[in-house]
Amino acid sequence: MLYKLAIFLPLVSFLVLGFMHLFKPNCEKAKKVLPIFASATLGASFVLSAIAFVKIVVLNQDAFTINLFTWLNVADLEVNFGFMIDKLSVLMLFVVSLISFMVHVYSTEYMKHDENKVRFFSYLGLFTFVMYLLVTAPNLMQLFLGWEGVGVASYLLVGFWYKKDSASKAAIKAFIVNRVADLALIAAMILIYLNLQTLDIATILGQASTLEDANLIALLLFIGAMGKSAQFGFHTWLPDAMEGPTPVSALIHSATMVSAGVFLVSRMSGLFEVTDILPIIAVVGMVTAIFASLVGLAQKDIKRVIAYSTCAQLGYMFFACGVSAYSAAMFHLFTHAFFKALLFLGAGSVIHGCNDEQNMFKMGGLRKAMPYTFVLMWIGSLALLGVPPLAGFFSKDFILESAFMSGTDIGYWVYAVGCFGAMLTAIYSCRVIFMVFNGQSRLDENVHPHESNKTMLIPMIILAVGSVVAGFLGSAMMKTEFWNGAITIINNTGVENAHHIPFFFKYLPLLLVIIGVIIADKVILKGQLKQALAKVMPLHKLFENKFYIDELYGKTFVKPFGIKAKGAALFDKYVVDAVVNAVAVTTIVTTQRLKKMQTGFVADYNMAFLLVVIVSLAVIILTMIV
Amino acid sequence: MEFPILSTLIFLPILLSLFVVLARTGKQAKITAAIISFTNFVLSLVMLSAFNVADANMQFVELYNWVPSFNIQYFLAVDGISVVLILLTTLLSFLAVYFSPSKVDQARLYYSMFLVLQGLAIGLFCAFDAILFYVFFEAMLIPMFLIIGLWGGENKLYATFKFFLYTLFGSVLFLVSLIYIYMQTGSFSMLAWQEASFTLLEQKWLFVAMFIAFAIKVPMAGLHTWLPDAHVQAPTAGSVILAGVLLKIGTYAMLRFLLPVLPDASAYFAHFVMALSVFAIIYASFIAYAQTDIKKMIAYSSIAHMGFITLGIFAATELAIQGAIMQMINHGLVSAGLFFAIGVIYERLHTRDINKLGGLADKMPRYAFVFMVLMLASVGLPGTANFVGEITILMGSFEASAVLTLLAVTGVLLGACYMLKLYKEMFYKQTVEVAEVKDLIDKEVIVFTPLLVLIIVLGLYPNLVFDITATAVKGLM
Repeated sequence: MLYKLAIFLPLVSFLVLGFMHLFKPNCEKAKKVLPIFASATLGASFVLSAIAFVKIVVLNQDAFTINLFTWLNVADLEVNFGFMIDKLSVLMLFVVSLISFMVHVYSTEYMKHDENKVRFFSYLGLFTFVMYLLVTAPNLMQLFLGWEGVGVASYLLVGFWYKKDSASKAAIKAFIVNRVADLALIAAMILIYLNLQTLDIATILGQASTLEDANLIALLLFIGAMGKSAQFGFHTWLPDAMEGPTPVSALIHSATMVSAGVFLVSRMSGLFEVTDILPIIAVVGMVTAIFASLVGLAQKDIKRVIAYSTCAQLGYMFFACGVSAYSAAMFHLFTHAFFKALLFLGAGSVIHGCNDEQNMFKMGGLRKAMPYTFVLMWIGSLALLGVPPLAGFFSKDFILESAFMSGTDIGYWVYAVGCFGAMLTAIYSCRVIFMVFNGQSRLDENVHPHESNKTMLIPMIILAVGSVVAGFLGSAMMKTEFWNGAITIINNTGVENAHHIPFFFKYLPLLLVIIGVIIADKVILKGQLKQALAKVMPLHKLFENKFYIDELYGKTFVKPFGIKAKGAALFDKYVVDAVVNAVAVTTIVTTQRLKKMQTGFVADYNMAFLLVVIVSLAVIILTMIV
Repeated sequence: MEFPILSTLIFLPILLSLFVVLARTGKQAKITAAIISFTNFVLSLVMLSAFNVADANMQFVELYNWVPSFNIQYFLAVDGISVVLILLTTLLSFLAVYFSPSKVDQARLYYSMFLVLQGLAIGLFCAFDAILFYVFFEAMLIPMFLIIGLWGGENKLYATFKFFLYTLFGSVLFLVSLIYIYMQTGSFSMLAWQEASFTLLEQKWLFVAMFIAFAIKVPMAGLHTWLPDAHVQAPTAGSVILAGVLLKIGTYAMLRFLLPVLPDASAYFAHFVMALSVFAIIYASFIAYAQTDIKKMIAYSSIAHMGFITLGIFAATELAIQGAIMQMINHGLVSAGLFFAIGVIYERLHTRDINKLGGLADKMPRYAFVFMVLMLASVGLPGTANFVGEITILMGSFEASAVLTLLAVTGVLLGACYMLKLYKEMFYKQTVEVAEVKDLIDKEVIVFTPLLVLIIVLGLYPNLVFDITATAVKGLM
């Protein structure tokens, strides 16, 4: 009952608010009360999830599955609706409900003056509910329901301000790019069904070693994960998704939905472990981490920097999976949720305080006007950088240490790339803070920045506290036994020996981070190294334009698609249909010609009769002779 | 003697349409027709409640000699497949009548035509004598011909004749095949035919002839060009019945005549038909993307969705056929909903051109919601019935052809491309300023509610359909 209630409460919020939005659109009282109602519902859901968290994760109770009803039972396919309650799902439940609750509270202020806030809050409820379904899914089909469900919620929320053309375009882009990846997930489900006649996750993992197409299935699952987690190649939708209201970015595009890919890989770790595709995951993670960090260096929009940072951090989680350090990936997912949501909410506070300005080149010197936001952003950034004793220090270093100690070539590569990435992280994070809060104000004259009020600050403070302590609290996750079988690691040398890492390699990432901070300080605050920068200008342009990948996709996929569609339409009209019409016309013409034979004169018919007689005679004579 | 419920379902609307003809005003005609079709809908629910899902035999059999010299019988019966299609027919017919305006020209004729059409469609779904089936198959053309021809748009004559001639062409081939099979078996009973054995050569010829007839009705790629024209010209209610009910006749006939009577030829041509289906999915989706007339776009999307159904039927695994029947129902609900939705906007703004529409999300929030659900169902989102249909078809088809199934999977993506584009153009785009319009009125809410509820309920509990059809589909194996 506890779990059912926790999971279904957001649905209640969605239904109530959705109904009111449709049938009482102009009720002012409802507009005041409903956001608070939604927040309260989510608060209740959070409390219940927290109880579940204590029971399952802290007190180590046994995992179990709740069966609700049979979704479909046809031929030899049976799929149940239910909740799989184990450490992995309850951990996610806790993270999702917490961030969602914080975002709800924050939004009551942030969206206060929006005409459609009831619709906004109903979407938040929908998102939270389908995300719950995703993380608690006992089978792949329910997981897919949640998976596509969060995609729709994201589509609705990114396009929430649909009056901006860029917003509705970004919404479509997010949906379509995700769908491309989802095709792989569908294919994976089909293959699994064909091999095992089931989609039940426990059964699949149990029989993973006997699965014939395990490699292919794992690869397809991973491609699906790449889409949702915006990994390189599928990353293009995430920065554009920043068109949505900022609280949405904090909830969906940093802490919860985008980490679903990492969750999927961890959930299916028992399958991935017996395949050969782990190196592919590691490489994709590494490429994404470096690529996104580089692009993040040169963005002007504060939210886009954080979005690329999210991309990069998801890359960290994936390359952790790639070296079998799923527990490290999940740990980083846990801590990342706190500080990245904090950073987004902080960015939202800045944007809110500057009359919806997002361009960092038009900010600066906000430290005085927004002292709380300033401090909170620093806490979030330091946690992201992995400065001890904040959360990122524990989780990020655990990833790097596990990679280093796994002793494989790919492990060393991951370590090296991770360290380099840490330095880049430091540069772009400090760049944001320096540009926004330090130096001279570059604001437009009519903008008077102001600090956000308590309703927005309190959720941020709570997340900041989380960013400080999550590392300590979560450090138990580092042990494989902690997961109680929810995560399977066959080759666990890296994870188990992570703490034996030599001193130098343990603190190398921190050293690089400090170097990164110094570089950012010199370049942005002090304006030194200008000449050195001038030399890398072309590179800067490349980063700013995101390596021109959007343009590439535009030329290779989007535009040709439109042309092909037009071509097909023309072909259908002027070839296929024309043939049909030609048949009709030919028939008409022929009959009209034939019609002329019916002259009505006996003499004409006599002539025809004579012809027939002669031809018949000829035939008879010929047959008799032959 | 049992109560002849099937005959009642067929002839109640046909005979009672006389009362519609006798109505004094258009409004009265509409109310009369709505009452009659609603009664028939209730009656079909009664039939459902009396239907025994576990019984593998035909049920509610009515068997009388009709033309003894040719061994033609009046043979009505149902199995699970018929039952779900009859329910779809009665529901959509009622909604179509209820939705139609009372101020239509020659209202009495208009409403009686819908009643007659309904009766004939039900007859087709429960006829098990081939000649009786053929009579319904042909007779249905007449009311549909009149509906498009009398109450259609500007180019209605072209569309009507195209629709009529296309179908008639197929019917001729169908009739010849029926006669040939009769000559060989001495019977017109479709059940008896399942026991007959033909040589592969005979089967191939019969298959080609009948397949063309049915493929036109579906319609499959290459034989489809009548559909967009018919849809664009037909009045809203006509489009609803055309897409919701009439398109199912082709796939239903494939399940009755091709798979059971000509099993070897069906297996022989299976890959060809599946390839054609996948081609339809991709080709029609591309065309849909380039359309500016909403009705044309949805018409092409119908062709793509019907491609999934024929793919499932010819994959011929239990799962795929179950999925195909499920998808017949889903497509009936969703395409009907979409055509109603187009009717809503056409009545208000008198245009179906997406370039002349925009910004409706603010003006019509309820309409935007309804359209959103229909769109999501159309793109096969999990939680809607279409997802269940598509995923079971795809899972069931993989065994039969991995390559074709994987190609069909891309249809899931292509569908999203044109539907999301359509939604953006109609509801989000701000560059076009449309006149002030009213949001959905109560009548329209009543029409959409059962459709949306069914789409979601069947999406979460599809066994409402699967359980009914399971026994019949097992019988096909």
